[in-house]
Amino acid sequence: MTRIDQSNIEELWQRFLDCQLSETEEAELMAYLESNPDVMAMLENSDVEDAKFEGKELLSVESITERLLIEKVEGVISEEDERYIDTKIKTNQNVNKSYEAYKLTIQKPDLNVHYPDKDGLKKRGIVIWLRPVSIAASIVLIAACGIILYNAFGNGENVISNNGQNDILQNIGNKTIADAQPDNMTEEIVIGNTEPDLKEVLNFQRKAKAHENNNAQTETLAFNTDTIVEPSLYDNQDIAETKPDSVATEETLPVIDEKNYIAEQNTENADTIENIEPESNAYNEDMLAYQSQDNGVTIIKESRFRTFLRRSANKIRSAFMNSEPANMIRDIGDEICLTIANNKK
Amino acid sequence: MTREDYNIMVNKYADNVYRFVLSNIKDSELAQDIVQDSFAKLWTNRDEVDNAKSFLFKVAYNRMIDVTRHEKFSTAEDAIGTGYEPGEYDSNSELKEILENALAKLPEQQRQLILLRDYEGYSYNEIGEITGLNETQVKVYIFRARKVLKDYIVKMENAL
Repeated sequence: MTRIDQSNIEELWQRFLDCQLSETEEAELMAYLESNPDVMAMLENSDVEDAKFEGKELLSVESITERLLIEKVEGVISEEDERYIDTKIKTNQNVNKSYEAYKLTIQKPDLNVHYPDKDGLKKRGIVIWLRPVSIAASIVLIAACGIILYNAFGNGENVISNNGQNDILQNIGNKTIADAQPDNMTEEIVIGNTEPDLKEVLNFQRKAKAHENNNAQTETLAFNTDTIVEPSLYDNQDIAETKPDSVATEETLPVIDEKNYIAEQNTENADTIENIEPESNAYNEDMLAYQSQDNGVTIIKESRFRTFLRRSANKIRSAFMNSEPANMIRDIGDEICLTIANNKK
Repeated sequence: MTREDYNIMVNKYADNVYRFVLSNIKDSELAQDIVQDSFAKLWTNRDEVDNAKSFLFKVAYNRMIDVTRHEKFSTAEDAIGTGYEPGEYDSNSELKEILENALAKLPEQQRQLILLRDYEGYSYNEIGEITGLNETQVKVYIFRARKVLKDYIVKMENAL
């Protein structure tokens, strides 16, 4: 047994009162108390037996019933207690009424109440959604920009832009042609819409070359060759589309016998193309056949104006096909427009 | 927790948290703010959160405590025990209104525990984790709240 002293005497005394000590322990306790009569007196006079349980009301039948009713509605009641309280609910009206009231204390959420801005709470990533058409358009746009930038900076060469081409066409159309000529004439000088006249093109090119060789005085072909560069944009599909299929490249041009060609021209188109001797001053003669110079202004015979326009159109077309530089093509267009404007006056 | 997981949590629990908060503070704008704060904290702590629902309610509960500390709310004892006057509720004939009034007059903590228990079906232990109380305290507070609510209802029914 543990040693008996002041620290455990009260516990041992309580156990003695509760008859929880063994015979040996009781004997030892009695021996200790006999040797310590003051302790014995203190214990006998203690008010332990007079102590009152303050929560007796909690042990009342009513309180126990209330607790069991709450446990039942809370769903935490034991089976044994539930059987007991169920009996009470069935047999006692007051208990039944209390039970019904407890059931009403269970709160039910109003499911019509919703958080008003769930989307605002959500986290969104960067969502890219494009329709196929948009994707295709984007690819085309990016590719076009890439080509333009490549040509502008990648080659280190000068560029003729589509605007340059358009400027020429606009100059022709806006300044004079539309006003001076019937509609069908206007159509002929629009490069993209012009029927390919291969023979005229070749003839014009040939004559232009001869003209250069002979240092002709006519301004219409006085190109400044110092500025000529090879514009790579002419390899662009947009430009290629403006060329007739049959004259798209020099490699595809058929070999034409010049004598046969001239003879053919004389018979089929005698009013437009003069009989020209090859490799001579044919160009000047040809030009003089339907135009003359008056104080520096090229005067075109009225009957040959159609021919002049066709030649002008072909001149521009051949310049494109030969990948002439932009400024030269622009000069050609300006010159044609100037001539038309002067003749209109 | 991925972004997708988080958005699922929004769909699943935003209404629940909102109802819980709104039932406690009766201020829709403030309730929305608290819900937003709760989900914002969920997102910022998404890597550490195991139980998103409990986390949301815990944050919302604590935010409500912070908010209501600055505001004066009447307690159940004030209203039910001493402040009740039969004529005051003559117009509130519907039981739902009686219950809402009873709930509103519970002590703030008891009301929150009751709502967590009834709205979300949390166990005493889970409520303890959310509120920081131990399981025994939760049970005692809920039992007291039930008793107060029941007495109020009986009293109102007798008055009507």
